[in-house]
Amino acid sequence: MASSTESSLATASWEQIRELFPLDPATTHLNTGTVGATPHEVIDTYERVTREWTGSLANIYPPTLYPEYRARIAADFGVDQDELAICHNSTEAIARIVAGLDFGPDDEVLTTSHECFSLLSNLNLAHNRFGVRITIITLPSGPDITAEEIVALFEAAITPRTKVMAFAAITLYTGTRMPVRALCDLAQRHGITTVVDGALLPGMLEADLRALGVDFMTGSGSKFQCGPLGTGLLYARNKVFPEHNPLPLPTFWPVISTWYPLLGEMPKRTRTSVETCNMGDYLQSAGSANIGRAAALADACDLWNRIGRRRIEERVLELGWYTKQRVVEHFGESALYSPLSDANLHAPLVAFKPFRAPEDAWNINKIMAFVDRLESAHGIWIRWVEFEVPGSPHIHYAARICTHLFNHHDEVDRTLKIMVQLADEMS
Amino acid sequence: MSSSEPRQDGPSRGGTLRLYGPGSMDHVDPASAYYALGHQIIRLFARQLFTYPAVKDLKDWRAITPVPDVAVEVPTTYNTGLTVNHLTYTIRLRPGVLWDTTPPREVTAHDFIRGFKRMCNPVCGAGAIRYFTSTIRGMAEFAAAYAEAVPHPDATPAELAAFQNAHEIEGIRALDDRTLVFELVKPASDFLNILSMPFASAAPVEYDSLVPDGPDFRRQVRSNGPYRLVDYDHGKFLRMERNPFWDKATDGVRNQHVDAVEVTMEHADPVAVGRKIIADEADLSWASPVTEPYDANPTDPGNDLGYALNPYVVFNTASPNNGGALARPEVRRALAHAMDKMAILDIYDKLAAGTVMRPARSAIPPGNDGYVPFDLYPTPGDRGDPDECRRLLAEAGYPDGLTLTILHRDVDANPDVAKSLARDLERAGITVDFLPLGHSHYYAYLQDPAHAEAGSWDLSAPSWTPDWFGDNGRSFLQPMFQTNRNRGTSNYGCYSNPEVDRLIEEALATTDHERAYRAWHEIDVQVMRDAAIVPILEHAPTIPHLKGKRVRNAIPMPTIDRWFDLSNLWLEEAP
Repeated sequence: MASSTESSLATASWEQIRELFPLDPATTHLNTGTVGATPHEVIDTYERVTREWTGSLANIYPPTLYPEYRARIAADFGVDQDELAICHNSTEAIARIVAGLDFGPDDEVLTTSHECFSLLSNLNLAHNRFGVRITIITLPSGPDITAEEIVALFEAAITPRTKVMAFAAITLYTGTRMPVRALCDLAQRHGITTVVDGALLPGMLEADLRALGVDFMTGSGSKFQCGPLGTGLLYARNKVFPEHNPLPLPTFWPVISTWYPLLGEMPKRTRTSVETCNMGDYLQSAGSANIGRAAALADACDLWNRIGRRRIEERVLELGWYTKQRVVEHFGESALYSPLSDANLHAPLVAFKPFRAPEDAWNINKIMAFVDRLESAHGIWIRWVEFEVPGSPHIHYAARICTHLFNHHDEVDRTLKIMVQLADEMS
Repeated sequence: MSSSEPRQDGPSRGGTLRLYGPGSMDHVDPASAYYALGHQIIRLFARQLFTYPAVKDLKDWRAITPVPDVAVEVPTTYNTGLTVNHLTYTIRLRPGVLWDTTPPREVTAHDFIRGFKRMCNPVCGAGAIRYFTSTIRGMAEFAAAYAEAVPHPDATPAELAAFQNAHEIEGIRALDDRTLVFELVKPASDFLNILSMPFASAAPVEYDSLVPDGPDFRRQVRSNGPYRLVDYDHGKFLRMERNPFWDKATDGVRNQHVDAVEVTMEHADPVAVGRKIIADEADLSWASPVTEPYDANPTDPGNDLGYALNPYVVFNTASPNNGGALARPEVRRALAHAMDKMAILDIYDKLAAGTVMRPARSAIPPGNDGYVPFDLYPTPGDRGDPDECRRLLAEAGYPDGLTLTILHRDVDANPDVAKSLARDLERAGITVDFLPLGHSHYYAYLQDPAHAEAGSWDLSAPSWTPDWFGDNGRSFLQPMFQTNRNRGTSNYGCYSNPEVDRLIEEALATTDHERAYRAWHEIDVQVMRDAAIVPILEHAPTIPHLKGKRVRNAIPMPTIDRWFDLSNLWLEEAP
């Protein structure tokens, strides 16, 4: 039975795969960057496991370390159970990483203005708490940006005090797939720790976190991975594989931990590829936990494996590329804030300005009304985003379309046709 | 606590509130008014985007925290009012706030933009214009272009309106009638405090045909608050009556309990003012520090709020007198040694003002951001050192002393303060003349650099209270010392040091509170090194002002120097 399902999903049409999701036929869901659609079977798993554990007399604590679920999910991202914790969302993961780093007042964090509030707010907390200096660079945007340009921008901002580089794997505003490996290479050359906000990564791209060379990464379980709300991932590099990241493990304090020693210290952390201290367990042990949630997330990951993670990646990138081409066709290349010419930076999030007048790009009322009308009058769910543009004194507001495996080309066509009409009307 | 009040079930409506005393508004025009008494009146007829609520307990942080006035809500990142870089504020305006025009008309985002442009007018501009020009993108450029295009202080309304209506402040935009966007040059955690200044009031289109704060303006000033001005005789009398177009549903902070407010401005000393109030011929003091018995520990300022400088001696650095001697820091430093601060403290003590007073040594007094105790000009017991003054004057090339004119108000303790300063200076071999002015003219006179440049005065003893509390490093140094020679300036002595200007901008760019605090202190040290002023006394302004027996719910407001909020009190007639 199992092998038959795997086989069928691996070759199923995208129309058939769409049937896995409880999508409202009256709504066009183009906002997975905010929240994905949880498949029927994942919801079933959540309900079933929750019922199994509710009211049982079993010892709840060992299973809430989620050893099996963590092992299954970790394998999907090229890492091990001792390096992964299942948490509530990417924000919690970021907060625990920032709070766990060994910051001193002379340290500097290099980040960008295109990061999610969850990263920037926690960095500001570290600034206020420890005196850490936060250096914020503004990423370029638009069709012509390149990976080299981004890496050069980071390189120019590194100082001898830079301790951490913190950036998104895929930016939520312009949908720029950051050159993570190249940025990690840069960081490693300077002995810098990398913290990657990967909220959008799980379920969108096939990723090997170890091969990317990152020290820490977060992930959302409920966006592209389509797990239940309130699920996230925290990856903390816990072994040294010199071919990927030769730096020693950064000092890290597993804040929020029931199992942190009551006396003494954690076991010494390894300097090799052999685990000596299960950081994942320390991070995971935080009192009782919702087993149904973890089970459902693991199930969502299994479902992705059965469809094929590479296949999903290709699908979502193709849909994203298709969307960009249609945006260029309808609104012109200059309307795009998302990358176009450098395919390495592509992601299925497309941000653009729908209005003709340049000043409408910094008119929050207009973009809010535009997005509201798309939803209320046409049942199309996208979102608007705001971000800095280098050299501009204004905050820019853009419409963002986000496609996923359950979307199809017709939805993109219909949406853009309506957007053109609406933008004309509002211009 | 002040004297007990009979138990009330609720506010009474009606009656005419009578204020009496020697004070005066400096200006009626919100664009230029910069005096606590004036702000007490302006609060009744001119609304801002944000303002302060009247809160009885001065220890309650809400008393010093701006709340929405014409704005719908405080902009935050989470209500899309504040961008993540803290550089763009989107402020939505309440519907239904009306001007008392014929017919009544809604206050719009465009009215606020007009108000911001009017602040830069060359006839009578905002005394703290640098709060705005150093914060809002393009406002400095707008002000500079305005000054260049309309350089004369006697410009006609048509000239002013022509410039204002043809030019925009780049960083202020109306997205529609009810949405205003501000773009800043750098994040400013005190931006809502700045927007709560009366300078930042809305201005109706009718003001385009009036000279700012001119006689016609004072006759035709419009209201969007609970009261409107119906009679105004500068320095003598004013009367306000209910504005029939004001709607409580649109105003979260003000009320309209009394029928009318009348202020009678007469040359009277505190004893005479107190006598009138006790005799029920007046309800509240207007400017005179008349206190009532209270039980609080007088050494406890009752809060952690910032002290005021009251008074301080400001030197006219633009004075051509004595060969321009006061332009030279070494001369001012010499004079700083002459002042007997304790003698002035004795004068204020005799007023029984019921407040904590100490000799002051720095431009920033305690409780304000940037305060660190230091004293560059110590004298024994703060009694002054005329010999040291004389010695330093000789060193500076003035062995025969100087002849200086002291400008002073002719009311309350001010003549005595002037005489005390004169005695100190004469002991150091300096000849002193006096230029007394009535209360109604004093600040307007000081705010006009033409008088400073003409040398009609050399030193004076005004006071300065912070415009807001908490995160207020700039509220002393920027208005008092950053270069500003426009009419309306509160840098009365025309002090100008490019290094201080630069350091102020640098401090403003510092988002880290501790670093900013240190930066403000460093500027304090620099202006004191330059002896731009001589701080005389630092005051915790907690005067429990005397109230007439029918006055209820009189709440002192820290942001108007603890004078009462007239929009929330009511009168209880005797049964």
